[in-house]
Amino acid sequence: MMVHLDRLRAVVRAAASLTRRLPLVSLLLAVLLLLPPLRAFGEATMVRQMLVQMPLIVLAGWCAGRAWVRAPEGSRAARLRSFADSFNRAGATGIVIASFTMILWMLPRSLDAARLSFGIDALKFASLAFGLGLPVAWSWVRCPPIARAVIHVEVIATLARFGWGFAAADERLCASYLQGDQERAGMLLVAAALAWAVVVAWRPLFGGLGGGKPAAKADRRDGAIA
Amino acid sequence: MVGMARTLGASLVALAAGLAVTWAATDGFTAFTLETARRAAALAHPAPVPALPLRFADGQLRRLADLPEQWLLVDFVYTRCTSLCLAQGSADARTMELLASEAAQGRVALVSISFDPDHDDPAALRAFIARDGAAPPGRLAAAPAATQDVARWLDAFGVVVIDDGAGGYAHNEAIGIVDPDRRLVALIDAGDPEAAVAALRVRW
Amino acid sequence: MSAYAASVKPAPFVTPDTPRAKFAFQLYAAVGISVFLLMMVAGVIMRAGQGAWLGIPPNYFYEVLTLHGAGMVGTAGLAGAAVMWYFLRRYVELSNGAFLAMMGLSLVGVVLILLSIGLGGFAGAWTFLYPLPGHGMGLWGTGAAATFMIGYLAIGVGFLVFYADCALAIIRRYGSLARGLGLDQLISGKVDPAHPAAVVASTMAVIVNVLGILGGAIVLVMTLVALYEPGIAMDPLLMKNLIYFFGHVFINVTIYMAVIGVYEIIPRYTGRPWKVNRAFLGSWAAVVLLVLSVYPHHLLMDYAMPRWAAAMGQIVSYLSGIPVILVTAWGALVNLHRSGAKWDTPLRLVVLGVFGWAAGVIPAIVDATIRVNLVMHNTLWVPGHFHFYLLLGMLPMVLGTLLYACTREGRASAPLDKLVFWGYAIAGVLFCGVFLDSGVHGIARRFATYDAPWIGYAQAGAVAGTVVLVCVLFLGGRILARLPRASLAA
Ligand code: HEM
Repeated sequence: MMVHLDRLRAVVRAAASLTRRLPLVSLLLAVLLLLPPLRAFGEATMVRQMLVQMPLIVLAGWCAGRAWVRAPEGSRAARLRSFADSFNRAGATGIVIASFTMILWMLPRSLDAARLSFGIDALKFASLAFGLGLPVAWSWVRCPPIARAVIHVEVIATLARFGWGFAAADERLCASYLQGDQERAGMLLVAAALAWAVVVAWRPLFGGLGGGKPAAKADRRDGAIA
Repeated sequence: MVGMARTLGASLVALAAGLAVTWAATDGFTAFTLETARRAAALAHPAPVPALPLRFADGQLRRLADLPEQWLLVDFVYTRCTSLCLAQGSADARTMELLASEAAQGRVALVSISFDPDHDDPAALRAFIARDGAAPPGRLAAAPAATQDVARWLDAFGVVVIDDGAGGYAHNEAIGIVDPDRRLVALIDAGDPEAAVAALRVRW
Repeated sequence: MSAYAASVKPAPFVTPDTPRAKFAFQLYAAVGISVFLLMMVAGVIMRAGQGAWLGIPPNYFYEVLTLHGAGMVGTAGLAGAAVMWYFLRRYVELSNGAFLAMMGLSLVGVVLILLSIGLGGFAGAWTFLYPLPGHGMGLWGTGAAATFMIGYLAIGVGFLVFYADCALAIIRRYGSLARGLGLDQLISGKVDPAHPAAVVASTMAVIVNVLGILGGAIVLVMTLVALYEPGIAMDPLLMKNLIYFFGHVFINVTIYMAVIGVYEIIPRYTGRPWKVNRAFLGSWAAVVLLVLSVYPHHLLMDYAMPRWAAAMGQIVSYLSGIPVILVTAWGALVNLHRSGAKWDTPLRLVVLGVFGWAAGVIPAIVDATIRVNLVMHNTLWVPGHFHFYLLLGMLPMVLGTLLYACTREGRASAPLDKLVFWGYAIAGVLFCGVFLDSGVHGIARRFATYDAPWIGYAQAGAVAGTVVLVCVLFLGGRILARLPRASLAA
């Protein structure tokens, strides 16, 4: 019995240490995705590049950003962050950076460029992780609720705009991808916009801020509002 | 307050940088697709075409520079194509009709370059340009003499060839205009012979 | 009464009455009245031009039409929001910053729109129907059209900020938007009569207009894309759907916001609270649910939208509004009946607003009947019905609320006030009546120059419009003169 419990504890501890290393693990994963075979796989279709590969890279950057935000008091990372924080009141700077990064990599020309050139693709990996995922993790918690709501609406609108554009274009916008692939990617982006809208609207519409708790507390939680 | 001023400064810098990068990445908010970009680039910076040998439909090896005609129209094909290239073939035929007299005088030629040299030997190329009987004067076809040159040709013209998922290829189509100095000076919609001829005529 | 209901009894003046808040209100009143007046001048100029009293070159007419449409709709939005803010802040805590940000961003948008029309010559109408903005035919360029769209986007972001603030405040107080709307009471059947009507209406406005603005934000950018990347061919039907979704919702919501003035002001004269009941909550919920459930099917990338869907959407969206009008008109009548209320100009205006709104629905229903629509659409019947709603519904509610806020202390109602009120009401009805009658006689809307048989109508409209303008000038002057004494607690 004791033995089993010990084992269980060891497993839990290992899992916990893994989650602590999650940022590292996920960045490593992102680098792996850049290796030629995985890169070719991840970019073989537009759907894969836009809806699988790129979100994974952003997620990796986001994990890194989370770790940075939560770095223990007094550590180098924390000191650096509190300096950086002074340039990022209300998350404004980070959100500006993230917006540009997001839109830039959704342009058909950038999708092509990333597919066709390893150098540009490396740039894409770096900027999606450190120019989108990381700034969002760093800034979102500092965004006032109103700004969050506006950002959500903009993100939904942006997904829908690109999706509509790709689905509606009657020629191939990317030299590297087929028309049917482009249409599928477009439809999926529109679907993503709808799903995003439902997910973020649900709580304000029906659930409130964590059961009507004082907003000051709820605000600090991610995605608490809108 | 320090944070406020710093943030304002930093976000303005980020905004300016973001706009600058977007500007650079889209040629000043004009080219959002690779196709638009390569056409704009051809117009803005005419670049020499590769000086690599091509095997023509008559079996001879020549470089584009060796051709006597002053102006060249160049497009990319593979002869096994059963879909868009058929339309391309009729568009090319129409172009040659429009340019018949100039082509007869040796002032212009239309060269289809195959990106599938392993398959497109001179016989296949001959069959390709002479689909309806004999090839008209100035109607040429060629394939890179060495398979490893294909990439350089495609690169020079900004052509991207992908698997069409049905055993063939898909590629961005356009007709390149190559001037007497053998520089690529413009790329015109492939399906629009009138536009190609007009673009050629203004340069004569 | 449920425990929940007891815990959220209206507490007057939740939001502190700071000088900044008062300034914000005064700013909205001043900007609103000034722009309304200017746009009315533009309206009279158009009618006088159609009536051959003024020689206006057609391209100039269409610029004025674009300016009048965009200017009136935008200002109606701001003024409606001001009414909503004025009363909603008594129940939930609103921020002055968000309210002022809406004005700031709107002014940025207005400058861009003025540049686009004035300098760029943009004249593609406030509805910017695709692909018109990209086809200036030498009258305007791509840049002018793009500037117009960007101006709209700026205004849209401004409204989003305001609505997000309202949503947040409502959620903080009531737990969720559904509860603000009274959906829980509707479902459980235990209606709390003290649940503020202002909160119900505000919640509806927030939900519906955020969706409307989202649609607008998408279609505006797609219009921009179409301007610069003609290779991406938009589906005109889908574009039109989205534009109309956005346009209809935005302009409709101005009334739904302004009507809060009715719910709040009439009870202050009669001493009888405006009690919400099932019918009230049900009809407000219906509007939201219908907008939520009817319109998404226009968005489903459904290129070959069947005809019946368009027709149905049209009819349903009209019908969904009617219950609210009925409960409001009925509620107002019941509240006023034998109440001994002392009539003065603010009350008169607010009640005129209810009349205009309720009466305006009749031509709307007529127009939404497909058989009729085949004949009437694109005639002046259409401006007839919406001017009825707006000029005699929304605007009197707004003016009544502003006047009410400014005249509580030491108010003096002169006989002239009464004359002006009746002048406005009668001339307004005549002005809209001329539009409607012109529609019956098949006179097309949006025509710059008229054939001889049409000119008389336009002249009648110009005269009535001028009387309306003069009366609103007087009422607006009253409000502006008394603005320093405006009270947020009136
Ligand atoms: C004295 C008051 C007013 C006058 C004289 C006036 C006059 C006009 C005229 C002549 C038109 C063009 C009709 C046509 O030929 O198609 C028009 C259109 C319009 N008006 Fe007014 N109007 C007045 C008040 C208002 C108000 C208060 C609003 C809204 C708050 C409003 C909103 C509109 C809109 C949205 C259009 C449609 C523009 C378009 O077709 O693109 N108007 N008005």
